[in-house]
Amino acid sequence: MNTLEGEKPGGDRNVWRQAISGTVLVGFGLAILMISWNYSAGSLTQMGPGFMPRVIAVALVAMGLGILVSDLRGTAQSYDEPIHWRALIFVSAAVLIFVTLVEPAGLVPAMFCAVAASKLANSRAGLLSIVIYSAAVTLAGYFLFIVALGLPLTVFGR
Amino acid sequence: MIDQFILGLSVVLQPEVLMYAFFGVFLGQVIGVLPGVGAITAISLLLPVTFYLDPTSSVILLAGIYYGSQYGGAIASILLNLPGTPSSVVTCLEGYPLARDGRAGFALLVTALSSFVGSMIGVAVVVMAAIPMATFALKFGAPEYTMLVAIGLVAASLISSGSHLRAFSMALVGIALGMVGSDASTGQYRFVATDALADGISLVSLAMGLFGLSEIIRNAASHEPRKTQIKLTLRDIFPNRAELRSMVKPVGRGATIGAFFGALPGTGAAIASFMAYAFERRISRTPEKFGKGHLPGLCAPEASNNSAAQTSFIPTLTLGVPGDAVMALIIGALILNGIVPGPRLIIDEPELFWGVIASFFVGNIILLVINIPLIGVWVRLLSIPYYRLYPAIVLLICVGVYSHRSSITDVVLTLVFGIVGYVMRRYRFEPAPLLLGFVLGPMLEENFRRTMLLYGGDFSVFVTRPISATLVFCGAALLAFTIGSAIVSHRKALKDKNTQGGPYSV
Amino acid sequence: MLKKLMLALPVVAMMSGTAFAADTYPERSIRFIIGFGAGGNADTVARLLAEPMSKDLGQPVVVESKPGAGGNVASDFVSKSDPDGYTIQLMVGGHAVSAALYNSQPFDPLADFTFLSTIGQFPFFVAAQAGAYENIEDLIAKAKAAPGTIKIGHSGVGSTQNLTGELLDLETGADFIHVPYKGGAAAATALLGGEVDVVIDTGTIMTPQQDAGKFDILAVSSKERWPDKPDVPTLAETVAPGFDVVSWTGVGMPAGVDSAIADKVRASVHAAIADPDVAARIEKLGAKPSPMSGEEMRTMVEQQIETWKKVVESAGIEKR
Repeated sequence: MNTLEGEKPGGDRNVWRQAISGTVLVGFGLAILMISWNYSAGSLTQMGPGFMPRVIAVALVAMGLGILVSDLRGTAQSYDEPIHWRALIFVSAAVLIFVTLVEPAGLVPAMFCAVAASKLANSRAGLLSIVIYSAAVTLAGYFLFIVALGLPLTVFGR
Repeated sequence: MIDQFILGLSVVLQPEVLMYAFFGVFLGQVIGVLPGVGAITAISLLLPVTFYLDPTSSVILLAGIYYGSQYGGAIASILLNLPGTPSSVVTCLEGYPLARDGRAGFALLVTALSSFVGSMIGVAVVVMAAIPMATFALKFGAPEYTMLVAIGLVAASLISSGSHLRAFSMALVGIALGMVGSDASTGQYRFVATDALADGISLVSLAMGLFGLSEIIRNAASHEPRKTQIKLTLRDIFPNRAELRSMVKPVGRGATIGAFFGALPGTGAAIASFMAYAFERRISRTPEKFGKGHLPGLCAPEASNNSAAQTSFIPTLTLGVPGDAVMALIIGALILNGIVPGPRLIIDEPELFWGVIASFFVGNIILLVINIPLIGVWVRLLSIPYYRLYPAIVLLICVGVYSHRSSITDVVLTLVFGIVGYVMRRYRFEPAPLLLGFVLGPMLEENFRRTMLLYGGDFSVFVTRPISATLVFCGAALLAFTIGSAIVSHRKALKDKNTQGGPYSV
Repeated sequence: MLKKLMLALPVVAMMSGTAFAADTYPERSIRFIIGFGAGGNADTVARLLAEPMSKDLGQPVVVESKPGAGGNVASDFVSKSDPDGYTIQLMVGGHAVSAALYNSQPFDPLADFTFLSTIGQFPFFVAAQAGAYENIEDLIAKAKAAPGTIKIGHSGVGSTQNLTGELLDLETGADFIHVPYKGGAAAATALLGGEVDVVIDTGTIMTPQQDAGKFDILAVSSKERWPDKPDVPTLAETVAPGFDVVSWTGVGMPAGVDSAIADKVRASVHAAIADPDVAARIEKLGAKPSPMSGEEMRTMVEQQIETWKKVVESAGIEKR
């Protein structure tokens, strides 16, 4: 994995922050267990679709509890790095714009708008540079995906 | 064997056939660089073209796309942390840290060399042992596959730098995600919240979200210039003598592991690189170096997946049974050309059989030759500041995932996994075990259920069948070793608590 | 040779361009939906047809895979698509099977579709490891002598292969264990490895293994002997009188397609399978090219749904 630059030993010993990893896993496991209760488990010889999900869910709950205990005992380091809100918002926006536009409007408008939106994730972007940059990337994308690879995608809306 | 191989070479060295080999590996390499646009897409698109070719050229072309894409897959992983296949996920683990350190050129060259050597070992195995390997692979029934996959999952907890408990829980989450969609054994839908999930979650969305997109979210706002080697001579990027020496054994081990797993229909290539990585990490005297650009961790899996890519042709060519979708497409191309591949292919069509195998040999040489000069081009890509580059990567992810199966949901899921991956990192959960769980989970369930059906719910089959028993033993040893070392490091961590936590903490 | 390749490349290139305006159908690319993953028989047949149909209709026919639930995902998708002629489906015998197998399908297997024509018809073969059984009578006798021991590998629960095996249970009174695999190739591998005793699947999977002396083909599921293998007895003439299972591939559209458009596509399908080259390739896939009218195809599907409903009911297969 990547180097964890933001890692500091210790950090704030907020109990809630320490408990969250395990709690989320336990919750996830319980959710799977609840949903898979609707599927028949069958017998050992003829297992139904509900058998394995239940086993995995139980194991997940156990793991979650283990992590909860070990985190609360606090032998592990916590991981502090400011949340990258700006990037989170604009990258998400870019992807969502892409999915909204790609089918009704076609690939080219979707690419242009998605690139422009994701460009905003970085503060160093003027309006003109966004337009020029997005146009250039869109053009490159068009040549790559449509002309060179011939992917079966709609270029402009139907 | 050698005579037949020379017969094959005489087929493949005809200018026209050679051209198809070149065209195939080149296209595969290019396609492989674009994550999401996998070999299957490229092969499906080119299938009609093969109607006009003779069978040998068709297979050489399509096979070239396949193993060429294995080479290409490493490039996006190293440069941009964008894995498109399970095996390139492993490449990300050590390759991307190297690139961040400004050693992308070095990482790419090491990868190319390891891939080349791995492929060559794979080809050698195919030439010398195709038939015995195929016979051996047939001894693998449902119990053996179940145990093999279970070992893979234990290995999943070894590929993380952090706590084994956290890693294993991620593998479980991966298995759970792999259950979404229709149940392979009964066809019943599970966890299908919307109709679009009926096909299950796509591996491409999962990998691109957890790795690619979460990395973009982390770095998009940064203005720091990245470390790159501006001037690039072969000497700068070529591993020095000590580094070369340290590569030899991992490459050899990786290729051996890959050759073995590749020959098993269906399971092979996906597990091979993970196993090679976990193995290197397990036997390493310096496991703490892994995850930060450690050489054996880069070259062993790379050798492994390329070796597996070659040996995965063994069941296809010698038995006529395709192990995965790519192989099925290649068989489809053969059938449409009037050759129905089966056990008699090697006898009835020696020129085709050996021609294709010789084309692997030649194709890999071509790949190495076209790869080395390209390294300079790829590395130059990194001299573009990240804030200029990342919108294009976002686009690459969107289009790559969307084109994979024309699904809007897949792209939305990629975003979801991107955010989840971003949050996971903050809480010290690593994405690699999750991905392995996702790949192996369905295989585990399918084979376990089949074992129980075949042997009437009797667990003793796992230890009464010799191969399965061996696997059980290996798995138990691995598990015991892991738990043991975890306890030791846990004690150490407790002791060092006031200074710093150890690399492992349970 | 390069020239040949270049001649072929426009087919690929054509998929990229989209026409902006034309007067009549088709004025843009047509989606050819298949319900199975790349590489299967269905996929191959679709690609085989897509090329001549693209040429014939003057617009690219783009094969799109929507795998899942024995083709139901694709059928659902097609049934809910606009009936504008731009979405066509490669249907398979499984269409009739799932109609019998599912409690509630999100679509009506007959009313929600426009049937165009079948492409090819093919039977299933019963095969065992070479030398394991003398003939089909021997297999059935051994199965009856030791109920619940002989294992039949098939290509997935609810596949036509699976139901053919269940029908065999039903018609002969034998009691086999039916083991699901992911597709016929995996089942054949299991038979090669001896994990199962019998496999029921298509000729494409069986023939190469028979040629290599690995498998004995014991019987064929069609009513008459299959022209490719005149020596193989039918199940009907040996152990199960009246046994008749023939599967098929065909082309369908959503219900409500303008009949002129449907006729145009049907003509294009018929032209494609009449082409000697394509016909030869269909035969290589183990099927008999079988052009039909839409009405004939609808009747055939209707009858098969009835047959499979009986099998599912009397074999006690759990409905979904």
